Amino acid sequence: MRRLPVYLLLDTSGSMKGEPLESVKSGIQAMLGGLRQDPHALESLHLSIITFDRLVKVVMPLTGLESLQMPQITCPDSGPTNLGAALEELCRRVAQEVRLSTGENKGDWRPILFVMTDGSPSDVQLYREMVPQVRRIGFATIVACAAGPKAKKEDLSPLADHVVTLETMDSSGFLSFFRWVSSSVAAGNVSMGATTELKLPEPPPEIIVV
Amino acid sequence: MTNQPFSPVKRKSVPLPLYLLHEKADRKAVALSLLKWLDSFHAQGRAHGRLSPERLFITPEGELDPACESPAGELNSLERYFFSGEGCPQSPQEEVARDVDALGALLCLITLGFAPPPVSLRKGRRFSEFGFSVLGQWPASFLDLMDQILLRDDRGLPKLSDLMGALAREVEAETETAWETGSDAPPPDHETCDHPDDSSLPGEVDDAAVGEPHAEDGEHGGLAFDEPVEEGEEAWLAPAATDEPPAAARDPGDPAPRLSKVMMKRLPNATVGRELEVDLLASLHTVDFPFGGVTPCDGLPPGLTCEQSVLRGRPETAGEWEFDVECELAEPQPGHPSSLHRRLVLTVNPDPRSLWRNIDSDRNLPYWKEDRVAVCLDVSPAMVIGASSRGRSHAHVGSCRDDDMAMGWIPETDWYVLTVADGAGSATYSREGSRIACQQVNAYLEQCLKSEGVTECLLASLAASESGAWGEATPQTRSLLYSLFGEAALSARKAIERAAALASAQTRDFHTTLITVLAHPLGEKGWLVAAFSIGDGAAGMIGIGEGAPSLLTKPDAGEYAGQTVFLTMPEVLSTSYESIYARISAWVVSRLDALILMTDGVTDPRFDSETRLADPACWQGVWEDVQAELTSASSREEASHAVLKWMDFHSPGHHDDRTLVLLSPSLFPTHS
Repeated sequence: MRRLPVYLLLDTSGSMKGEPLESVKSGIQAMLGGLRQDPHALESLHLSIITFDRLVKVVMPLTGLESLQMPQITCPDSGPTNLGAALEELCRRVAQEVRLSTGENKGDWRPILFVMTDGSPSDVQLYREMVPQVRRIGFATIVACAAGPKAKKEDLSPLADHVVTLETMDSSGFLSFFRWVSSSVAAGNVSMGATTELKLPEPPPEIIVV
Repeated sequence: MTNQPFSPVKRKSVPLPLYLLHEKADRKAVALSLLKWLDSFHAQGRAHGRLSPERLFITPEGELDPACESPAGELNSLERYFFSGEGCPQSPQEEVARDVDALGALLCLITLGFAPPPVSLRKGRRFSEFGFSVLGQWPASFLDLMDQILLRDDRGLPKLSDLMGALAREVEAETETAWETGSDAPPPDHETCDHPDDSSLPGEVDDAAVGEPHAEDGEHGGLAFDEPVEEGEEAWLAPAATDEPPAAARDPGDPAPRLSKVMMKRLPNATVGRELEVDLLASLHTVDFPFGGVTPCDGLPPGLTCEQSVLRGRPETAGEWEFDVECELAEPQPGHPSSLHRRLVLTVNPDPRSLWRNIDSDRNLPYWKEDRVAVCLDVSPAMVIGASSRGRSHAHVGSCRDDDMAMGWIPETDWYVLTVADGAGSATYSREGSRIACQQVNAYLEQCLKSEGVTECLLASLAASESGAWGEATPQTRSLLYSLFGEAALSARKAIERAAALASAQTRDFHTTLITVLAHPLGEKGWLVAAFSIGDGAAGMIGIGEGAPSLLTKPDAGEYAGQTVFLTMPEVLSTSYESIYARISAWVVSRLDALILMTDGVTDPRFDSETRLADPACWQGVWEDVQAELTSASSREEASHAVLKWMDFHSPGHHDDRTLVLLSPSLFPTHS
């Protein structure tokens, strides 16, 4: 069975503490509920959630939607935003988890990556080193979401195929972002097959495509 | 004490942070009292989660106010704040970790007077290194145990009883110390400590108490615990410490606590209609509380039963289910409840099959084509049938089938020309791309093969080779097939480019794969078969005896699923001769039961790897399945519909269009 691996990289640095993180969590929860109603997703979607602050945590390794349960996501009081380290971990996880086609096995669909941050990478050097490595993985698409006023979207453009911004870090903003993520994932499920770039559905008005 | 029924408190208890500000605060007594209380809490099999110091009320004796406590199984106003409201922890380990974190934070506040140092500072450093002189008042053994909690070093976690033991002796020695009416004025802003969550709990605070101006003058500031409650002093007291029963006051309009009333346990997800079996004893097992039996308190999700602590059955309805169970303790302790309640949470996924919709495609769409077709050749000596069906992924959204097929027989020369094509799912007009490819390739090849000259030339040169294998074909055969297939593909691509230009679209909007097979009977000698392919899907021969492989084509695949090449990509036909030769194969086989062409909608679910695609036994398996479906057919037309029906087989994750074209000399051999 071919899986569609989706990686979600979430910023959990101190600035996300409180309402923003709670909103992200309820956004993910709503997204999962919606995806469970999609037969494509139910059969093929596999999701991994990696959080990054001072530490990078794989809060959920690649898990099929059918057996997936919402993990605990926590936030320290303060600390840096180690996106570079998160990308490093991502590369390791993809190498471990995503199956490539061999004579014996059918490969997974091309993986999809979503990155959400409300700041800019603190480990700039490592981040710059990791960007080309992440690009080499061959994600079907990489979407970066710069949430809130402090997020630096120009830092994200070398990494992502699509950079979107979210003006407000409240629950309705994140909810519409994750709703859009899930419709993108659903689109990915049906439009895979061409080597051309994945076409994303039109984002809701709260999300501004840079 | 812990199991005292709730009674309104009339004494002057104060919140823990406020209590600690008092010079004479008996920190050790408070710590001991809290530890005892937590111990009894755990003894009920409950986790407390985050502890909010502002909600812990301390009596003048330095003990936790009984109002904070509750009989087993009930939940009072205070207790509800212990639950962090962050939802149900995932595992007992996480629950333990959260409880320990809470305990560490609380003890840190009591011993040091401030919240625990950040993890980064704590790491590897002993607790006592953060302390001030106050630490000297604490027994060394207690501080050592605190280190274990806060540092999480390899000594593991201490038991509550150890912590209590370390404090007990000291506290007992000091119990004689009487409280004096303090003249120490508490900080002038103490009011804000009284009830930190005022704003979130509208209506429950006595207006008079809040509005009292007395606190500003500072004279009432002493911790006059022993004095009777006077009107003016009510502001000292949190509402929980007044006559008003707090539990009743906070019940309405506060939905969060209800969720946490009973400890929740999430079970592994289930799916509608799929057999579920969960051993609840094993799922609910904790080291501290071995359970002897689990019985449901009320209804279970439809379709499930619970016998001998095992939940089993086939869930009937999707959703997030919550239901309560009663867990009997295997070894009930005297004075403690003999059973505990647990709330089980179960996510039941819908059956994906029930979610697929089947929306007819819109006939007004450009390049519309029928969702399902079954066709056959009427007059050819060998049976040729084909079926093409729209995949569930298209049916779900009402879009058109992208696959196509074409087949022909040339009476003059007895050649069969069979073609299938699969339009790329991500290309807007790929359904037209695949149609043009099939029509154009077949038209071109049928035109060429009408000529006796081409046939003779091909037969002469192939017959000249010993084994009849393409690899050993003469240069003449090679160049003939090269030009036949190459020109056919090129003409198809040109036709698609013209169609794209007409539609003001790009050629890539018409991306399609292509598999085309030529077959010619050789009488006694068997059959001549030649194939050409671009992209995925496959063509194969069945019942050919030794010498030739079943698989005629070499599917183009990338490292990920779904990555392939298309006829419509410029690089495919403009690369070297060798790369085009590599797409051709030709064989003379002594016998032939069937020739099958399939798009990837059929090959992916039926052959799960390239190894299996090359395995003649797997092709035989497909042929047998198809044959079984054909037994009830009495004509070629019925046979084609039988194949169409066969292609509806369900395979999770495989919902692409499916197309199959079949040539069989033995079935319905004469024109029916």
